[in-house]
Order: sequence, then C-alpha cells, then structure tokens
Amino acid sequence: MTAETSNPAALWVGAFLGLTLAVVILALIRRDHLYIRQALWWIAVAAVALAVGIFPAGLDQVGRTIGIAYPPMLAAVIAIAAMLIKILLQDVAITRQERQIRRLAQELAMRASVPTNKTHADGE
Amino acid sequence: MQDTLIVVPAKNEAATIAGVIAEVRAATSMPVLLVDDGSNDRTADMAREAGAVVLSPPLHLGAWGAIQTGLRYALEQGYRRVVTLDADGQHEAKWIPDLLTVLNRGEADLVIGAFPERGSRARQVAWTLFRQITGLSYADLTSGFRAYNAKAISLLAGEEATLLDYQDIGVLLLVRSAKLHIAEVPVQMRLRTTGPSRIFSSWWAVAKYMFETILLCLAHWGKPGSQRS
Repeated sequence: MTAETSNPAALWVGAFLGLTLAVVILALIRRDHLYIRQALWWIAVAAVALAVGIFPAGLDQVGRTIGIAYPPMLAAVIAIAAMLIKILLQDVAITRQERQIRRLAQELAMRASVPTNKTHADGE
Repeated sequence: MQDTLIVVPAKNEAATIAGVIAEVRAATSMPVLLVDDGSNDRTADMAREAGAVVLSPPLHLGAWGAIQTGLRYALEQGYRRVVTLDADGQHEAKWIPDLLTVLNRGEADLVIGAFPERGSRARQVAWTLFRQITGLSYADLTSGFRAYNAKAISLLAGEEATLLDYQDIGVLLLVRSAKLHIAEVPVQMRLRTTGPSRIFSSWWAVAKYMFETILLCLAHWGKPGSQRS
C-alpha cells in the first residue's frame, strides 16, 4: 500500500462523491425518473467512483504498472473514455428512437385516414 | 390498372396541388394519395376536393418520410406499383405510362423519370461528383418522378429506409444493395412555376445536403452492387 500519496481528506471527498452518486441514482430509479437500462451504467460509474474514493492507492498502483508518469491522470482518462462511450451509446439510442417515432407518425397517419374519410362521408 | 397508386408528397403547395391532381386524374384512372407533410395552407383540403386520399402525419417527416408513408400505405392496401411525383407541377402526368411500361416489362424494380437538363451548372457538378463516389451511373439521381414495383415498395417501406431524408441517392443505394434493378426513362419536365426547391433553400442547406450525401455515399462503400465490392 502506498497510501501516503493521498491524504485522508481527499479519500473522504472521493468516497463521498461515489456514495452521493449512488444514492442519487437509486432515488431517481425509485421515483421512476431513470429507466433501469440507463441506471445500470450509472450504478457501475458510482461503484467505480466509490472504489476509487475508498482505495485511491489502487489507482496509483494500476497507473504505475501501466507506466503512467502521473497516476491521477489515469482517473481523468478513464472518466473521459467512459463519457465518450456513453455519449456514443446515447446517440445510438436517439437514432433508434427517431426511427421509431417516424414510423409511429406514419402509422398514425395511415390509421387516421380511414375514420376521417368515413366521418367525412357520413357527415350530414 | 387499379393496382397502381400515385403518391404525391406535399408541403404548402396550395397554388399547384389541385392542378397536379386534376392532371393525373385526366391522364390515368389511378387513385391518388397525397401525403401532407405539415402544410399550413389549404393543400390537404384542395387535394381532397380534387379527389385524392389525404394522409397527414402528425409530425414533420420530410420529403422522403412523406413518400415512405405513401409506400407503407400502398403496401398495406395491397397496391403492386407506386408512382411518385412532386406537388409543384414540374412532373407531367402524361409520362406515367412510360415509366410503368418499363416497370411492367420486368427489367427494373425502380424506374426513374429522368430529365437531367433541368439541373443548373452547379447541380450538374454535384451530380457528377455523386456518380463518381457511388458508381451509380444514372443521369438523373435526384428526380422525384419515379415508379416502384412490389419488391421495391416492400424494401423501401422497411425500417432500413426510415432514416433517409431525401428521395434521391440514399434510396438508390439501398435499392442497389438489395440487388434490385434500376432503370431510367427520359421524360420532359416543366420548370418550377412557384416557390423555391425544398432542398436548396440556402447555401447553408446546400452545404449540409452535400456533406450528408457524401457521408451517406462513403458509408455505402463495399456494399453489394458497388464498384468496390
């Protein structure tokens, strides 16, 4: 353990952030503001944040092992990569929804045409 | 020929729509479907009065989204052929039989009514570029005057075609990827009498269209039917 690189205050801040994130996510799911499929990702993020907050030395260890001169950068790199992946997945999801919305609008138009014409013909 | 549906996508074309539908009905006995893409004038009413069935999607779907609504309607109602033409009056109904003749011979699944002479110098340059990138050799890549048979209708009514924005190169690339055949028939077109083109409304719109289309072409590299496959 090389815990001397991180002071106790920083440790508490990291743990607090991870824990807060986890609590907020659970509250959002509970109030039905977050769909469970998206929540899984954020729970995973909260778990990693919590782990890093409690064991910052682990991050230093991994950073040194893969040869990163300034280990805290590893946390930033992982965070940016995670955000990029998440944003890309979001756009994939938006694309799927856009397709569904367009097809739904088309179907609505197809359904509406029949009764509209009928009432038109039946109209006094 | 009651198994053929004429599909007309329209947005704010009240000035021309009645004449267009009357012309189609005079030239053929085929039913006309107008897909009203969010007009805020009397386009839908006038089309209905002129004898067309009108569909009004609740969201703005764009030119191709409107046409696909018509293709899905045709598929559902059991039509075997669809002819699309623009609501601005540039396509002449008297050429519809020419398109269908080629379709009926079974040589093609999609027939383009081609009038490349209508393009400005700049548009000709763009078309040449698109021909180079895609390997599509047709003279009129963007004509909205087209005929589709049952195979083409069911392909283009599908989800894969839903996120296209224009009835032009993306549609042709999809048809080619599915190994369907495309033919061209030379026709005459009238020059636009009213209003600007929906696609080329500003330089920004032109640039956006060019980039989107080039990206679409590049994304189709190596698919069946392209030169590089």
